[in-house]
Amino acid sequence: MPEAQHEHGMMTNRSHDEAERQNNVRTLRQSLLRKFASGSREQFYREIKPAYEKQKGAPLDDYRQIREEMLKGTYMKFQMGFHRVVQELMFESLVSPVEEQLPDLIQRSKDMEQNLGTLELDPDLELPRYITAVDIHCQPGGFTAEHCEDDIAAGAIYDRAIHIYNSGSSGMTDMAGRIVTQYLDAIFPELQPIRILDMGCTIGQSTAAYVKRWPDADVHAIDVGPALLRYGHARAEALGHKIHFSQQSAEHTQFEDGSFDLITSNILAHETSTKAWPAIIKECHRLLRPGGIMIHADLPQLNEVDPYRQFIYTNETHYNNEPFWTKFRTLDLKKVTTDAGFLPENVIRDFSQVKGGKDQAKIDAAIETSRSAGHGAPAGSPLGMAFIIGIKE
Amino acid sequence: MTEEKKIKLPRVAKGPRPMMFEDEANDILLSMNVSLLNELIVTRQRLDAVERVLESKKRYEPSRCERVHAR
Repeated sequence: MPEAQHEHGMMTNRSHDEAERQNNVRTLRQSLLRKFASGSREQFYREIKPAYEKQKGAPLDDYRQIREEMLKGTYMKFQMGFHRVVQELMFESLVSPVEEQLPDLIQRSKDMEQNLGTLELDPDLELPRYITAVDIHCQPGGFTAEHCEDDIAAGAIYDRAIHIYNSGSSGMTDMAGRIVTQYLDAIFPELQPIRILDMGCTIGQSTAAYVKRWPDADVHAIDVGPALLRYGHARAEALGHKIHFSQQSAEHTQFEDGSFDLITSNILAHETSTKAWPAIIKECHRLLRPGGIMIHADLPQLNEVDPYRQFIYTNETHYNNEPFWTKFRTLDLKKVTTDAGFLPENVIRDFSQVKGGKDQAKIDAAIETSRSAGHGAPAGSPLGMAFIIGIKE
Repeated sequence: MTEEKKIKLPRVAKGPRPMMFEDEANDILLSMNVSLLNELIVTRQRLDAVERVLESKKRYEPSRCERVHAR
């Protein structure tokens, strides 16, 4: 059952019809993820794959070929067309109320200030092309647009969007962050970070999970989108979370060498590029103190899933405005991490590599949480979130 | 007194819009269909809300609706 979203002081108000419109999109999305997705999967394994292999005498195991074969039929065309329309409808249902209330929301964002955390913006920051080339996830205006002075629109839209997109799996929308803390608790039970950095934080909804888990830590969160950060700061103040937000690129930050015990990111990796990601990992290596840990959570790489799942994953490039998705998914993440200076024995990739002395039940619980959040994408995934972890020597 | 100019937010995402069908008209029809479906549900939910309010005020009996015929 979906959980209602927690209504904090920065939430955009909704009329009866606006709320229903948004809730319906969530329902349509669930039918897409469950019914449509399992229907096409069945069609692939029962009809398309056997027919192709019988006719060609060769296995159908290349995701590009699978795509070609699947799109010969009507079912997949409808599924993908539906996928795109639902994504567009989601934002349509979210933009109007934010637009209507924008001056009030901006005023509220100022009234929320209680000087728990801080906000630092850098108007001269050069925005990375991988974030601005298209509007990622089809959010009109994308992550970085500013429509007026002190704009918070992108953040206000994003806050309700995550809840709909994740099928209402968590009222606080901090599921992705909690998956990370559960996992860290399982494999590093002694971890007590004093300074934490969350990269690509958007509105800090995952960062909140770190504040809750380590309430005494000094928590920093960076992103490149100014409206996301303004909203994130006001949201954190409204929720009573002490977070220091600043507008910085994860590729090169202003923080000093060795200044963090823990660096995190959640589904940031695939929004970057094959050039940017190695730079980000190098920056993590510079920022960690000896013994410090970085953990980046994302979906698995292409070679870590079966060909059909590869086809499903790469669809995101086409239907969800994720231009760097497919190319990023071919990067050898372990190699990138060791190239950045982490010792091979200090690099851990995903759940399957965790061995010995760890609490498997907790890890299984983390995987389950991830799946129920929809991060494992369509049901039947062998993996939930995949982690790349590096420990500074 | 100066009236504040309303800020317009973009409604369309920047980036290529993929079309699934050979004839683009089918994609547009699909889009219209799903949008209409969504609005139909919103209207039904609204109607449901109106009925609940009226019923609670004892001004409405659902069975009376069935006796009203279209002209």
